[in-house]
Amino acid sequence: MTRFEIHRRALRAAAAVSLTLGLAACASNVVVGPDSDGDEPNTTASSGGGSDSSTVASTASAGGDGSTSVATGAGGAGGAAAGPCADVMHDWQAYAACCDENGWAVEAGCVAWGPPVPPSLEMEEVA
Amino acid sequence: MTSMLLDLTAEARQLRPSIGDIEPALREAARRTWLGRMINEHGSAPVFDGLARQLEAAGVAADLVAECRTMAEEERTHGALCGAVVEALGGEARAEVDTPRPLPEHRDVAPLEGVLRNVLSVCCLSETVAVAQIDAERLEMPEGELRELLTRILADEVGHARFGWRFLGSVVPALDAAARARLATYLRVAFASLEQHELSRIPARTTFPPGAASYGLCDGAAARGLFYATVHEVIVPRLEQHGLPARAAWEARRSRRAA
Repeated sequence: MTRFEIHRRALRAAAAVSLTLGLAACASNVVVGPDSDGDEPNTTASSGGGSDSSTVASTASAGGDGSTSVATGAGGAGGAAAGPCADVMHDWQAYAACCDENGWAVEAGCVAWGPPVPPSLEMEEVA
Repeated sequence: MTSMLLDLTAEARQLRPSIGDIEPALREAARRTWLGRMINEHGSAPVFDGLARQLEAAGVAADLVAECRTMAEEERTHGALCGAVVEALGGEARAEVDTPRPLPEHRDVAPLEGVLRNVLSVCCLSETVAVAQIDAERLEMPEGELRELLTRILADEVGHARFGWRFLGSVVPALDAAARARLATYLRVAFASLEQHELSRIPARTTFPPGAASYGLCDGAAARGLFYATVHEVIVPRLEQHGLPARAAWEARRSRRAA
């Protein structure tokens, strides 16, 4: 499975968990559009009309093996690294130093899963 | 902020998965990543405990309160499971951690509206992103005990996200226009916090050597892309379907007090 396909499936899982019965039937699907991986500025929203409209069914489940009929197009943001930290991954000390330089909280894990304490409106006002 | 010792060695050693041979540099990176996850997951338990208390105070049905308490226990178990990977990689499931911060009370609004803000942030935003991230990571792993462990965690995270969307769907329809406007303002702050939290933990320009995904090490750029895709393609459209101006809130997240 390509990374593109993996991300499509992961997005379908996320869409499935967000579905609630209270929504009107005509609006109860979130359409996962074409792969838009990449940093935020180039990411386009798709709420109902992507060219690769792979509609999430209400019965979908996370981790399920539902078919994914997306075209392969692997690559995207998962491609080659660039920048000063690109070649340090075989050397943990260099990696840690790179993270320090960039302010990455590597000790918190590569991907943050567990939800943090929610923000308050007051926090914004004092920021 | 004070700190405390989090020691999950006893539980973690009972749960150690089989990891197999792994090159030393990769082992260290994986060990530290999973130690971070142990801290992060275990640290989420007080968040759900706090949510349960707030739900109870807001007069929400007892079964939902109980469900939330169960989710707190699940986060503690996730901490032990991540610690088990640390132990399997030759480390110790033990770390100095910050003492938990209390949840915001949102005293400017009624208790139900206040806890809705927190559920929105925790479950509809953070946990929905977590579902996508963990599922992607799981799918990149070969079959084996580590993937099974991740699948177990994912199953719980699915429940946590679903809880939030269900709760949102039951409360939002009864909100008046003023309350919806206040929630939209909060949503902008929550989006900003989510983005800051996620990006601070996903290195942007690194790739691990081939095979790293087998141990849960992620490609930072790909993980960031998936995060933004989840926001744009799932969270924002779904919140809009609930009648919340999520797209405007996301776009205004970096401008203070603008929405």
